Amino acid sequence: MKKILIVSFALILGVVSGFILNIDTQESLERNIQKAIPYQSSQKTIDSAVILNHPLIAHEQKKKVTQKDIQDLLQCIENETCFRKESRFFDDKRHPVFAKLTARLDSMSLSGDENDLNEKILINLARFKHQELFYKAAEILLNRNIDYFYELGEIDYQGSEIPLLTQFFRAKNLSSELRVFRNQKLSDFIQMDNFSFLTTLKEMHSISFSTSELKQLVGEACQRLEKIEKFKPVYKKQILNLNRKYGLPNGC
Amino acid sequence: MKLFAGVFTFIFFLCAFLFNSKHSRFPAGDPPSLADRNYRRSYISLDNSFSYAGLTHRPGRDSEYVRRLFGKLIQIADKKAQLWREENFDIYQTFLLASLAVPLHESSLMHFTRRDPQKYCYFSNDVLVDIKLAIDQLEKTKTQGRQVEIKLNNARYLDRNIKRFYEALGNGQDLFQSCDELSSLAEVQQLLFSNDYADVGLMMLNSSSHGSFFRAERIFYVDEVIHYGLSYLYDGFEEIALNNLEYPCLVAASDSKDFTYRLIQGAWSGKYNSGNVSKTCRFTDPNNRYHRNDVSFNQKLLSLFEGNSLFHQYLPLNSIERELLDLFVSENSHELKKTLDLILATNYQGYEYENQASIDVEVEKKSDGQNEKTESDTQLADTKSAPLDPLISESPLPEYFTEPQAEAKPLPLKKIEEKRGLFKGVDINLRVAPEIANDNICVNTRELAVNLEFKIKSEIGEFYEIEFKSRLNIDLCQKDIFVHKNYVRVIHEEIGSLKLIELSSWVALRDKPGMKRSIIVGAQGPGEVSIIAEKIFSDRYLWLSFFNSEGRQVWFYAGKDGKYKFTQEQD
Repeated sequence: MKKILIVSFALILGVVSGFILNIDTQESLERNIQKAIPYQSSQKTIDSAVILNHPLIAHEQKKKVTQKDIQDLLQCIENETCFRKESRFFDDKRHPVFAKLTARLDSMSLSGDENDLNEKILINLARFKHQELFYKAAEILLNRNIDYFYELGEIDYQGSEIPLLTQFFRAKNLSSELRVFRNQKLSDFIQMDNFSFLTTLKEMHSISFSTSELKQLVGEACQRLEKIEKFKPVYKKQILNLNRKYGLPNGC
Repeated sequence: MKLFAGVFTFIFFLCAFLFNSKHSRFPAGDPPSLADRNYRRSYISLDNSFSYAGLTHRPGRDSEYVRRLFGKLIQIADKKAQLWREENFDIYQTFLLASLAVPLHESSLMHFTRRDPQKYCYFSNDVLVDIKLAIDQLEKTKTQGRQVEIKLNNARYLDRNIKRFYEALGNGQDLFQSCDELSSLAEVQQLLFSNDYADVGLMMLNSSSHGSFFRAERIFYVDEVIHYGLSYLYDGFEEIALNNLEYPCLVAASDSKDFTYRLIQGAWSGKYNSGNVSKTCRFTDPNNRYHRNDVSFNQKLLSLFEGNSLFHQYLPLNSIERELLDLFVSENSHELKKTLDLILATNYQGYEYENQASIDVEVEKKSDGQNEKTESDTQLADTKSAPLDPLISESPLPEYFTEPQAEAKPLPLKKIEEKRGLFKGVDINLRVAPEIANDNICVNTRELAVNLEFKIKSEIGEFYEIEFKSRLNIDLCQKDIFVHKNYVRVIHEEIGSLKLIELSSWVALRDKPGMKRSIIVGAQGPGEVSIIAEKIFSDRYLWLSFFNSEGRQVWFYAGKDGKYKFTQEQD
């Protein structure tokens, strides 16, 4: 009887110790995972979704997926497979595909991987003239190499697209080279259709010019005004206000 | 003779039925409730979890609602077309008319209505609770008649298009409660959708095409809807007005009046309805597959000129709004400007609702609860040019949110600092651009009353971009203010712990925490953000803050499941 009792006791003891040891091992594994992540000090656990997304653990994987996504989206826009241009309402810049592209580019910027995007991709992104995409791509290109940035000048901007470029220059400390580039673009826009002309004049109010730069551009605007037949006072008012702002003589 | 009498009787009753059937819903001489101009199923009832604000229609208060809507439309349109007011009043006036015509056509002037769910919650909310199940059930009974077939078609529209609405908002797919669940509420806020549920609200904005607007949840704010819709309309309007020679349908105008009429038609057919100014002349092409849309818009536009639009039906006869409407089609521009100025100076705020549960609603109903005219409508007819007083208490509202988020807390990562600054020295120039030039000085500090402390938003070359706590009362110094680094004493201020979270969907960004007294300033998409501050209301509702790409501190409500993925506390 004694022997049976001893054997039973040993068995129970064995099972219980095994169970406790097993739990300890699991807990230490969890702790090791936690240690791999710099949030440990907070004594909080991290769920699997965050672990997957954590830059230390899946950074490379995430970067590759995002890059591929960007390329796929670019391709589907270029092939027009994303769009249904025959639908009643078609304003390409409002297509949801651009919001997706912007989110991907944001994600690359947030994780500091934007330099892995090559210039061709960035220029193509800017070509869509979608505001958020344009600003992000232009900023990266400008910081990388000014020659790449100049390629953005080749894009055909018209009407409501003009502020894309002009607003990008606002509040930027422009080198003299970039100022020449900016003024040349403004000069080009002044020569375009009436709506582009008026849009450019409006935009010029929020750009900082030297007096000589402004005189040059206003002179061009005055020449352009001679070709206008309808609604002349609307343009004149813009020119007048610009001159006033810089203390120049009124009007053309 | 008997045959003649029989035929006569038959025709009499047939005519009586046909003529009566069109108007049978409304008592003679009394216009129906404005909300009933749209199908009941086109309204989706919102429950308490939505945040919304703005002008809301109430049964029995149609006249007052239309006055306020008219005023708001004119005031916002005036801002958009300000450029033209002095230089070409005709074009300015044309845009104001276009701003009335578009919501008239798009939504019969409705965005929100607020009604008894027992009577007015119908179909859509029930189907939305489980669309697949509803479609299955309707398919099984579709042989039982035309009504079931219609319901089935509408359920399919919901199935197809409401998904886009969910996707655009990024708030999950369990937004709506069934009519049964809502029936315990005295009133519910209802939002108008198009017949196929693809477009939403007063300006019928498409949830896919105007995705960024929906992502910021601006569709639930009536003023935002008007601003956005009229901006979109104005973009196309101004372009075709200036480049009119490029559009044959505008060149063909017989006189200036005809030109302005065509301008409105073209602005709607092109940019607004097609998304593209190249379609401006669609309205002149009878073979275009969307010509029916243009005919319908033309009818609404014509009703403004002929004096039988919904505005004419609901605006009190001697109100300043009605007077302006009549003056639009007269030649008396002097009187028009006078009345217009009165409207521009009128306060059309008030009669607005934010989250329904937090409002002490004043209800004026007849004892039988029917939609009848109330005293206020009669009074309004006599209050010519008087500013409209708010009918609803506008005292501060308690913060009100819905879902507790007890477990969700972001994790501390490291302490961060905010840079603030004080001017070092006197006579310092503040500039509108980060460079030394004579023409970019907006003010000298000697003109500022006190030595203000400011936030340093960013560094650009030798300059700091700065921001004052309250805006300077100087025209040129409104935003983008720069000062040379040499003249700034930098104060480093610890403002909290940096916490990293990952947003899994879009959130609306506000300038302050809480719905009340804050405004939407943008939206943030999926990705990581570094949280710099948090605020919890009523121990339950979490608001988080971070610096946006412009260096501005913004807030978002983080109280709903699924808005972000982040860590959970260990019990």
